[in-house]
Amino acid sequence: MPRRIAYALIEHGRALEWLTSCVLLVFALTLAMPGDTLAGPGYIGFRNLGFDEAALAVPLSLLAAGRLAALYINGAWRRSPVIRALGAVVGATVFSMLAVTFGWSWLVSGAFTQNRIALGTGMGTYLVLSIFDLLAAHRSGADARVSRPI
Amino acid sequence: MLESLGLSEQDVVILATGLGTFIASIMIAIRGTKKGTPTSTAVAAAVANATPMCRLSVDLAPLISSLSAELQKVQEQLAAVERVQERNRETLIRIEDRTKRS
Repeated sequence: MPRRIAYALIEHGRALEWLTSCVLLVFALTLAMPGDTLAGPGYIGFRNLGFDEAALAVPLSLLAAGRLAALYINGAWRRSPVIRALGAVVGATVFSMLAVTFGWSWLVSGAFTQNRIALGTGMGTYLVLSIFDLLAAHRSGADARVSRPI
Repeated sequence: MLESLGLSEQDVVILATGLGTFIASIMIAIRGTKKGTPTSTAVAAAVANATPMCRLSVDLAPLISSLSAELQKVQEQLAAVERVQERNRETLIRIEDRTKRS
């Protein structure tokens, strides 16, 4: 059973790459829209690290668009798996940082050992996206091996 | 120490998480490059890209065989020229001997 699930995720997981790429693109486009999204309490970690909306939106939207293009051309250009792997690496990094940021208050107040502060949905959502981007990095690496010698 | 760098505990944890995930994902991608099984779509794309080259080699085969036949002919003609040259050389030697005797 685990082997079948692993096979399904590896073999048919490109849809998940489309999903995580689209989430990354929409995240970047949301930041680029008028209004200070980073002013929200969930993004205090990014704000404290010195990021503003433009510093996040521009590179992330470029990366997400590049990754979507690489998925669209589907290996017809030999370097597209490398772009997919790069996008997956950055996507996993961003999503894991978002997961910690959104779950910070719950984590520091004792996590599962307390019931004062409720866990938001952001932490789990971004954690799952990060895990699937790690899987995408593995899959893209394997695809790069096939495409490189041609 | 963290205050001197202008970082709070949260900043350090977020940065460490990001850095850890970044390194882990690069290692996972490298592991995928070495040991991962490529998806069937990637294999299909590789085959599709390889096919024109295979087709080209099939198209080139008659040309290569005709070139090989041409080369064989040239080699035979060269051997014939060498034989003629050898006969001429022997003739010349005989003529030279006669001129010396007289």
